[in-house]
Amino acid sequence: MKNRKGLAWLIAVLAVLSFLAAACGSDSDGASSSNGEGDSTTTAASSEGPDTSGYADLSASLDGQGSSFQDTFQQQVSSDFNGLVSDAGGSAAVTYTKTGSSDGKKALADETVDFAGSDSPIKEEEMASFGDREVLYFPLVGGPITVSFNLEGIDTLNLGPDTIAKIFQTEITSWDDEAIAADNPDVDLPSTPVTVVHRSDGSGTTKNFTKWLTEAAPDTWTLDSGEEVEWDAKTTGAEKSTGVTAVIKDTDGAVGYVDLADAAKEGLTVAAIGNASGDFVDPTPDSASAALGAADIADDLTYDPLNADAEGAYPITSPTWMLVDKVQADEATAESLKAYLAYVLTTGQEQAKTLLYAPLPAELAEKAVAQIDEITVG
Amino acid sequence: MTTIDLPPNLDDTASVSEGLASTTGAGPDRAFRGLAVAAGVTVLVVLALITYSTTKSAWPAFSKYGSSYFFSTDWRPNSKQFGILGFVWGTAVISFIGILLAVPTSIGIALFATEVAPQRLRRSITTVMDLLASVPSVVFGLVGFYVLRNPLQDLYRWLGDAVASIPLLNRIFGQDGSGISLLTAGIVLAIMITPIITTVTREVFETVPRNDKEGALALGATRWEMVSGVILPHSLGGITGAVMLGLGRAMGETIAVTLLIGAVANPEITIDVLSPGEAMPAAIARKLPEAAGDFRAALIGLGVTLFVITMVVNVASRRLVDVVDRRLKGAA
Amino acid sequence: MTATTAADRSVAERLTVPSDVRVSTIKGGRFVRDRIATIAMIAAFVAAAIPLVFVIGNVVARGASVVTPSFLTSDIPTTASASELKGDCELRQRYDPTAVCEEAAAPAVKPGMGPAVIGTLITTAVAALLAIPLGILAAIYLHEYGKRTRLARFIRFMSDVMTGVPSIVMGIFIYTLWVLQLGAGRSALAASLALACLMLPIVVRSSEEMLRLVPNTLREASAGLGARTWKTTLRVVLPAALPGLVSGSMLAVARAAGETAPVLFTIGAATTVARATTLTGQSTTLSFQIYNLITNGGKLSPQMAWGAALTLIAIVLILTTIARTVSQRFTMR
Repeated sequence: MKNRKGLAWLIAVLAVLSFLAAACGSDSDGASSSNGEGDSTTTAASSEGPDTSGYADLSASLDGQGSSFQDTFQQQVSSDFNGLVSDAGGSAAVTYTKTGSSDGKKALADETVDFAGSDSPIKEEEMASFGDREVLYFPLVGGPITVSFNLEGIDTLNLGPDTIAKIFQTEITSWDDEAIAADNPDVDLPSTPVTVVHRSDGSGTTKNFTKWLTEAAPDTWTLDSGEEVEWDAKTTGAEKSTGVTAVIKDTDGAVGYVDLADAAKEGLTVAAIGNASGDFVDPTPDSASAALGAADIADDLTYDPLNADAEGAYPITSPTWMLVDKVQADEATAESLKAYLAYVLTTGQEQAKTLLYAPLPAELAEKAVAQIDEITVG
Repeated sequence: MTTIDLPPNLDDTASVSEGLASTTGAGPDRAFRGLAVAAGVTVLVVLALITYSTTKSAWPAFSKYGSSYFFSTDWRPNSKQFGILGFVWGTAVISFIGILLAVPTSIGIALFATEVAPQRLRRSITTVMDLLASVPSVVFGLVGFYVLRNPLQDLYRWLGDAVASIPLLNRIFGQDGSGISLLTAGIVLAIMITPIITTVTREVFETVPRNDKEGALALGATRWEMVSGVILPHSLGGITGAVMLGLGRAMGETIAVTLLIGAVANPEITIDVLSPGEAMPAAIARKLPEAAGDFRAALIGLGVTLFVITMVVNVASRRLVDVVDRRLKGAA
Repeated sequence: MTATTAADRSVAERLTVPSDVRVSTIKGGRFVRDRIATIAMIAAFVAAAIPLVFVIGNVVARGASVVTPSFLTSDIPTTASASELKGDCELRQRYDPTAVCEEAAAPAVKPGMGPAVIGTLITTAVAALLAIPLGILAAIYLHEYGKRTRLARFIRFMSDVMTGVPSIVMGIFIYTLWVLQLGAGRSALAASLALACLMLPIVVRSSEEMLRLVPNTLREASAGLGARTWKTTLRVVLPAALPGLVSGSMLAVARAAGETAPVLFTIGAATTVARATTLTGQSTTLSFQIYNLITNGGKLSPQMAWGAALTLIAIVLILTTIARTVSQRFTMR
C-alpha cells in the first residue's frame, strides 16, 4: 500500500506541474508565435535563377566544417543551394558545421570533410598534416569587425588606431579623454568610465582585431596578437560574441569588438575607425568590400585586408576562405564541389550583403571562379 | 547418480535437476567465472586507462611548467603561461558555498524524514530527492541563465549596497554584481548536491540505535535535545562522509557551473563572491574544444588535477562511510 | 540533564496524557528551541522542494508550446541566424546604408531537435549495451565468486571511487584516448564510450546491492541440488534479482542521458536527422544542444532550448519512473 501512495504522489506532482504549464504556457505562446510565424516564402525561389542545368546530375553530398565567422553565410547559401539542387532533381546536399578554423583545417587534413572554412591560411605547423596534398583557397566573403560601444546619448564616434590601442590597454579610463576628444570635436563626451569587454574564449575575431592593432598602432599596442591575448586585469571577459554584445548592451561606458552581424543583432552603436589613409570609415559591407579590393592578392588567392590603404576602406576587415583539396578522389564529389563553389562565388555573393557580410569585389570573385577549373580528379 | 525426491512445489525443479544431471559442469563454470572476473577487472583497467591516457596527454604541461603550473595564478595561453591556481580557487570557493548551504539543509531534511515527518510523507521526501537528483545539470544551467540572471543581478546589487559600509562583508559581497557569479554557481551546486548528502545522511541517521533515541525521550528530552544529544554525535562520522561525497560531486560538476559562473579568462584569487569567476571543469568545457598544443595539454592537466583532487576526497569519504557501514552490520 | 524535569511529574500523570506528553511537561526555552528546530527541519525540506518545482515548472511552462511532433523529428534549423538579419530590413539599413529592401517577409524558420533526440537515444542505448552487461557481470564476480577476497575488495573499492570521478574527466579520457591518441575522430560511438565509463561503476555497485538482496537460501537450495555457481547464478539468482538489476541500470541510463560534459569533446556536431542516425559518424545530443543554444544566442535559441530541455527531462523522468516502479514491485515481493 505504501508503494501505491508514493507512486500516486509522483503522479500528482506531475499533474500539478503540467496544469501549471498549461496555465503559463498560454502566455508564452503569444511571444513565441510572433517570431515563429510569417509568410513562408522560400529563399531559393527569390534568388535570380543561377544556371541550374547541371544540378540534376549532382549526386555527392558535401560536408564542411570550420570557421564560425562564415557560419551564418554558409548556412544560408548551402540551404539555398540544397533547395535548388533538389528542385532540379539532383541529390547532393551541403552541410556546414562551425567548429573553429583550426578544427576545420585539421578535419580537411584528416580527410573527414570535403571542405574546410577558415579565417586564416594554413600555418607552417599545420602543413605537415596535409602531406604533399595541394589545397586551394577560395575567398568566400569578408566582414567588418566593429568597435561597438554603449554611451548614453552618443551614436557616432571616430576612433583612430592609437586611441583604440590605448582604450583596450586601459590607458584611457574615461570617455572624455583628450585622445578621444581630439578626433570628435563635435561630440559632447561624458566622463563615464571606460569598461573594456573582450572575448574570454580563443577567437579568430580577437586574432584579427589584435593583428590589426599591431599593424596600425605598432608603437602603442604592446599586447601582441593572437586568438587570446594578455588583457589587463581591469578589463571584462565575456564568452563568445553573444557574451560580449550582452555586456556592451547592459553597461554604460562599455566598449568591445564584435563582427558587424553580431553587433547589428543587438543593435549596438558602432564607431567609425581611422584607416591607413587617414579617413574615418563606418563599418559597412561596402567599406569592407573596399578593403578586400585594396588588399594584395597572392597567386593562391590568399590576402590580408587588415589595415588596407585605400579611400573608404574599413581597416578592421576579416577575410575568410573555403579550403578544398586540389585533387579530388572521386568524380561525383568533385562535380558537387565545383557546382557549390560556382554558386557561392556568383549567386551566393548576392546574399552576403543581406547578412551584413562584405561580398567579394568583382575582380577577386572572377579569379576565384577561374580557379574552380583547377580542381581535378585523380 | 543419486536421485533426490524434489518437493513438487519447488519453482525451478526443471533447471535444478538439469544442473544435477551434469556433474561435468566444471568447464562452463570456469568459463563463466573467467568472464565475471574479466568484467570485474575491466573496472580496474578502465580506471588505469583514465589515469594513463589523460596524464600522458597532460604531461607536456606538467613537465614544462613544473610547480608554477600548480601554484601560479597566471593563465595566459597566448604567452604560453599556464598557472591553474585561479581555477582551483574558483572551484574551492563555489564548492565551499555549495557545501555551506547544502549541509544544514540536507541534515534538516534527513532529520525531518527520519524523526518528524508522518510515515506517509517520508516516501514523498524520497521522491522529491530522487527527482531533484535526476534533473540534468544543463537544465539547472538553462533555468539559471534565462530566468534567474536578472532577478539575481537586482538582488546582488541590493545586497552589495546594503553591506557596503560593513567591513569584511563589503569585501565578500562586492558592489558591481551581475547575476552570473561565484555565488550563483555555488547556490546551484548546493541544490545539486543536496539530494546526495540527504540520502546518505538519512541512511546514517537510520543506523542510530532505537534504544538510544527512546532512552533520551524517556528521560524527558525534547525532540531537538534528542537530535542534538544522541543522533548528531552518533552520526558525525557518517555525516562527514556524506559531506565529502557531496564535495567530490560539487567539484566535478560542469555544465551548470559553466553557464552560471561568468567565464573569467584569467581568474584572480578573490573573496568577492558576487564577482564572476571560473572553475576547473568550466574552464575545460569552455576552452578544450578549440585548444591545441601546450594549451590543450594545460587544459587536460587541469582535468587530471581535478581527477586527483576528487579521488582523494572520494577515497576519504568512502573510508568514513565504510566505518558507518561496518557499525551498521555490527548492530544488525 | 533532563532527568530533573521528568522527575517532577508522576509517571501516572504522564501516561494519562499521551497525545502531548513532552510539550506539556517542558518549560519555555526548551520548548521554543524544540519548535524552532522542528520548523527549521520543515523549512529545509521546503527549501529543497522549491528549486525542484521551480525548475520543472519553468521548463514545462516554457517548453510545452514548443514540443510538437514536428519539433521532435525535424532537422535543427541552421539558417535561424541568417533569417533574423534578412527579415529585419530597418536594422540592416542602419548598418548598411546601401541595403536594398525587398518586401519579402522573413523566411519562416521551423524549430527542430530531431537529430538531438535521435543522437541522445543512440548514444545512451549504445552506452547502456556496453556498460550494463559488463557491470552486471562484474557485480556477479564481486558477489557470487570474489566475495571477500582481496581482488574483489579492491575492485569494489575502486568502483566506489570511480562513481565519484567527475563526468567531465570521462569526456577528457575518451577525448585523449580515442580522438587524440588513437585518432579515431569524434563520433556517436566515442560519446557512447564516455557515457559507458560513467555508467559502469554505477551499474556495478547497484547490481551488487541487488544480488545481496537475493536470499542465500535460494543459492543454498540450488547448490544443495548439485548446481554449480554459474548455473545457480544464471537460473536462480539473476531471475530473482532481475527487477532490481533493471531498476538500478535504468537509473544509470537516466543519469547518462542527461549528461553533457562527457559528450562535449567527443560527439562532434550534426544538424540533420540523416547525419545523426549514425554510430561511427558525428552526432549530437539534447543536453549538448541546450548548452550550445544558450552560449550561441539568437532570437530562436531560448525557445528551442526550452523545448529541448522539456524533451530531455521527459526522457530522464520516464526512465527514472520506470526504475522506481520496477524497484517498488521488487521490494513488495
